[in-house]
Amino acid sequence: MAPEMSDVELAKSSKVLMVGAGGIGCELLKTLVLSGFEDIEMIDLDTIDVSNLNRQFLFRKRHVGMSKAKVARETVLKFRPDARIVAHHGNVKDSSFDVDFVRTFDVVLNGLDNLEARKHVNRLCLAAEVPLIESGTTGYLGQVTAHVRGRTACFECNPKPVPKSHPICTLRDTPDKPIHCVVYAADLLFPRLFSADPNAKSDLDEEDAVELSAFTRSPGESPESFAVRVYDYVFRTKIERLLAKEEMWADEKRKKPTPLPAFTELVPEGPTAAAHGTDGLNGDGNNSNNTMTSTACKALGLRDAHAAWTDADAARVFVSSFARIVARDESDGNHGTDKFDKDDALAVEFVAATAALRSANYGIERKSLFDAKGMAGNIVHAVATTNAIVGGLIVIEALKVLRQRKAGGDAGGVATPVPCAPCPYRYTFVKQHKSNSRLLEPMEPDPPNKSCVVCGAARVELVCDVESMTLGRLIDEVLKKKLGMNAPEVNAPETILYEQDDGLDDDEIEQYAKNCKSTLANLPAGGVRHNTALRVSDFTQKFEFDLIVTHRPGDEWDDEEDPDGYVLRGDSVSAESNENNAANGENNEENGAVAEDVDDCLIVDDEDEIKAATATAGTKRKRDDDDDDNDGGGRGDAKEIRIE
Amino acid sequence: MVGGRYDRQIRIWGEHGQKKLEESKVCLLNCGPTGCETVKNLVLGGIASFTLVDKDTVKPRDLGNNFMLSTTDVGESRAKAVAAHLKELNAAVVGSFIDEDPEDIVTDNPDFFHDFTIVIATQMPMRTLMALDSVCRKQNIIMIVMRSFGFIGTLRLCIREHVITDTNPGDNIHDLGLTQPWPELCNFVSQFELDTLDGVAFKGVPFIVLLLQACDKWRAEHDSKLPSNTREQAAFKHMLSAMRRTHDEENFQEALNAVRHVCKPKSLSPTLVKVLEELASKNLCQSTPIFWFKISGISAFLAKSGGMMPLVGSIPDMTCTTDCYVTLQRIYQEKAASDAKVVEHYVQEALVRAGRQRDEITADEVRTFCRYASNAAFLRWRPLALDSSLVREDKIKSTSQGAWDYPLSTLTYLVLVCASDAFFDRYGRLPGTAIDAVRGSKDDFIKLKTIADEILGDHNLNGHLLDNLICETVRGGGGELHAVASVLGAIGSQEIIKLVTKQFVPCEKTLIYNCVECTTMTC
Repeated sequence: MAPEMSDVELAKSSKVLMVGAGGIGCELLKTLVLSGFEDIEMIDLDTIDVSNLNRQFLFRKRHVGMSKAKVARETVLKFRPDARIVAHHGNVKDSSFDVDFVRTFDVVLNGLDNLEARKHVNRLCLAAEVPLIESGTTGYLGQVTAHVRGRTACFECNPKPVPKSHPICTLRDTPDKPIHCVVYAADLLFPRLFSADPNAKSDLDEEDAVELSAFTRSPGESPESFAVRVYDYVFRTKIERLLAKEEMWADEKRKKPTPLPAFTELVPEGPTAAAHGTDGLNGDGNNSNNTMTSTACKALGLRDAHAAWTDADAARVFVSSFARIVARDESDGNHGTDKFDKDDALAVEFVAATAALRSANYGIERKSLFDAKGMAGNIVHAVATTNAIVGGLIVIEALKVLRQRKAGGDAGGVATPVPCAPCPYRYTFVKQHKSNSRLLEPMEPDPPNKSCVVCGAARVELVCDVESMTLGRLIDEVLKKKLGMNAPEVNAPETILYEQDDGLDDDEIEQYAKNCKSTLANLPAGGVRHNTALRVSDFTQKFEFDLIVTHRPGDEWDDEEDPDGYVLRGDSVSAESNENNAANGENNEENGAVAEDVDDCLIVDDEDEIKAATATAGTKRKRDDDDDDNDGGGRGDAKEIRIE
Repeated sequence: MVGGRYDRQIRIWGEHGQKKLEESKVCLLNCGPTGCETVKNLVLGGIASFTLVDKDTVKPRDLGNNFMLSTTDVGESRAKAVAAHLKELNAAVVGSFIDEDPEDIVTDNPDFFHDFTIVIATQMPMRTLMALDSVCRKQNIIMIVMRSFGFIGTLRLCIREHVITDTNPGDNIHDLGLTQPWPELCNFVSQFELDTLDGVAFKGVPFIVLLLQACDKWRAEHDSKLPSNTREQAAFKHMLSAMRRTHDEENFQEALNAVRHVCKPKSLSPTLVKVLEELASKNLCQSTPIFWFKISGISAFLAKSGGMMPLVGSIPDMTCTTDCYVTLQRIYQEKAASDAKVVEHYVQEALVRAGRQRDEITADEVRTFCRYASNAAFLRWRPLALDSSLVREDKIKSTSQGAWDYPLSTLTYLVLVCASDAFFDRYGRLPGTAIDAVRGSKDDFIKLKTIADEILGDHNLNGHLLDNLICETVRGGGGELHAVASVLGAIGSQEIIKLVTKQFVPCEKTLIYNCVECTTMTC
């Protein structure tokens, strides 16, 4: 009856890109196909894990270890042989998925599990002028937001906190950041080894029965022999086994791990000497069991908590702290230690050592004991129902966006035969509804933020000590990590300081490598000092902005307040540091308020993202402990950001 | 391995919730996309079994909106085909199907439903639903009614009585029992002589000790009373602050944040208060569900303790030495165990009074119950028969008139849903499902509009539903839109999981989902 294109016709004539074929992706792909979409491409770099099967319904047990994108495509084709689906098993940040690629689509639909990729896709969509529908779920909570250039806020117009959570598969098999190693150590390996309940299930127990015995102390085995056995398993045997899974390393960009030498090779003096150091293992009857005494580091003479250990030292600390924890738990009457506790010095040592050794396996920057202690994060709980709701909402939102687009942009008319408010797009929040309250909470989208660093004209201010901040750190920590850049280029007023490009000549490569090691003040052409304006750009993201450097001498910094040693300010990035401050200052009541009031919360990640081994109903109280804890920074609710 | 598959959801509802889900037997009436999506999510979650009832064979157009059917299924029994695909999703789930008209079963063989934990009725006319409601109600079977038409989906739960053991309110603040410290805790607290401690040790005193010592001091100065009003609390905080040596002691900050714990006992949640009221009206007997005996144990405990709930026994993380933390933990756990023992005693007494076995409930069950008791709740749903007439009438009359324009009000949708229900009852099909699509939709438009006007007239309401709202309803009615069915099915399965696990609060009213506006409303 309506003269316009029907939804099915609209769907038929549109080409969509799906990024992510996980929990949301499976639902989304199904609903797209059944809503008439015929031209679909999808990208996902992940492989299928058994813990996906409770919701990622396109996958079966026999698919474990295979590409999510490819299996999703094959399963759908079995039901709908005529669907045109192209599956890319790869990383969306790969250069083959560039702006020109994105421009060939009518809409991009995200079902991603990490902020970096989300930011990257946002920038690609802005550059290609293709609308983006963003989504995320955690447990019963979820959200879908529409981002149309010039019409609504882009994904980055509102600040996002650095997510404190990580996909399990990344943690277990393919870590590429220090935090992955730390979280693996604290939240996976630690409870697996030291839990009071030896039968407690763990994400480390998915492969086969060998694993079970690998992490269980044999009768009569000394604590240090047990520790050495676990060392050899985790850092050698397990890595060798992973290397044997070829599908996992098909992506060339993914760095293959290296097994470490056997413990006895690495530590010549042997396990017992390493475990004891200069100290008795049990505090020698000294009953003032304060956690500050008789630590592995003290016994081994490793006093500098800020230094990165050698492999051998890390192995020593691993075995020593391990043996001490076992001995302590034994003397406590066989109570285990269920959970990593940042105030337990031995646990911190164990985690730092494990993380260091794992970093050595994967060629990742090694963190000090001090840093490792500061980095504790939290697997999100995930269920089919929320993903299905969100998958459905994405399609509806996509149809609205497409209708506008096909109508020649903003024709000013109504989006659908049933009109709603002037702007047809919605941000929709899925809430864990209590009786009588709304399950879905639609919101008018925010307008674009003029001072957004990505889609607006913001200048970003970096406060740091130019005498100690190196260009390398600026690039890795600030530009890549905090600002989500892929291949940043840094220009000083007079010269190019850094760029990444395959076409560079050797001189340039050498100069840039040298620059990276240099402090800002010592860079060529007069150095970068107070008030220097840098032009920073990323060609792959078509993203550029001015970075103004403000010098603050090293002695004016407070480690507690700004542990990073730098502050990033700018209208749409500043809240990042505020977010951290707020987390540090939160008391119980405020935490309660955040948990209660989800209306204005944005959940950033797909389910696999949040690492929270603590959110079962059975251990609910423990999770609350985290919320009470200031440093937790809202572990339990790490996915929710307040939008101002 | 089994743990692996359900890991992510066990993080939401726990092993005990998962166990209940794995005991659930689900019956689906009509295998359209709404029903199939609902059952799909439940199969993924790990229910015990499903039984599909559908009289139709698979038509080519079913492939357009139902993912649980494939091209090779055309011409087959729809129930059989869907069952085969659903079974593939999870080998642990038993599936069966019946090629019959669900409406006939409701009329001719109502006992059929007695075998199920959950009955999901989709795309069925109101009068059949009312009959089914009374069948399920007698057996206290969970029934869920869903219908999607056009851009709208509706969902309604029908359960006689439902108890929730854990509403998961999300604001679980530790009950530390500090208003009534018990001897073991007092002993522990008195071991600390703050004045004699060195700087490091001083910063390592648990905030609980600081608070209780401050309380003693306050009581000595204030006639043995605790700070009650805001002014006194401020004075108490001031006193506590004065005990500090520097301003960076985190344990003191924690104590200051927790002052409310000593001022008044944590009040009972409103949902628990309702449960206790319901208990008072109940006569516990042979057939009373065990839940109520557990609640009677809690009730007796409350009477004795002066309103203090049995202690949960967990303590928050705090700044203190590991030794102190471990000792405190033990003191709290022992108190929780002894409180649970008291509750267990009351539960057993109640069981004996009702002529039942004392050991009908284990000590473990009581302990678990005590943990969550403060989040218990009780719900009832009114019979469907009452929905369609007077209750909605009240609702309509109490809503302001003239709300027919955009943005569309709940009232508009309510009238639309009522009109569609009436259409279904009158013509045995949903609007827009006429066989002759072109002429049929024109006819249906007029029919639906007429019915809507009748409803408006019956309720003395002025105005009309907007034509294009009716038009859109008729246009979409021809098939369940997959995007709508998928969302509605997801909401439905989520409600079922809440009901089965007895966790979280399910929807008490009719839920209307509008896919264009991305809204859900209840009425």
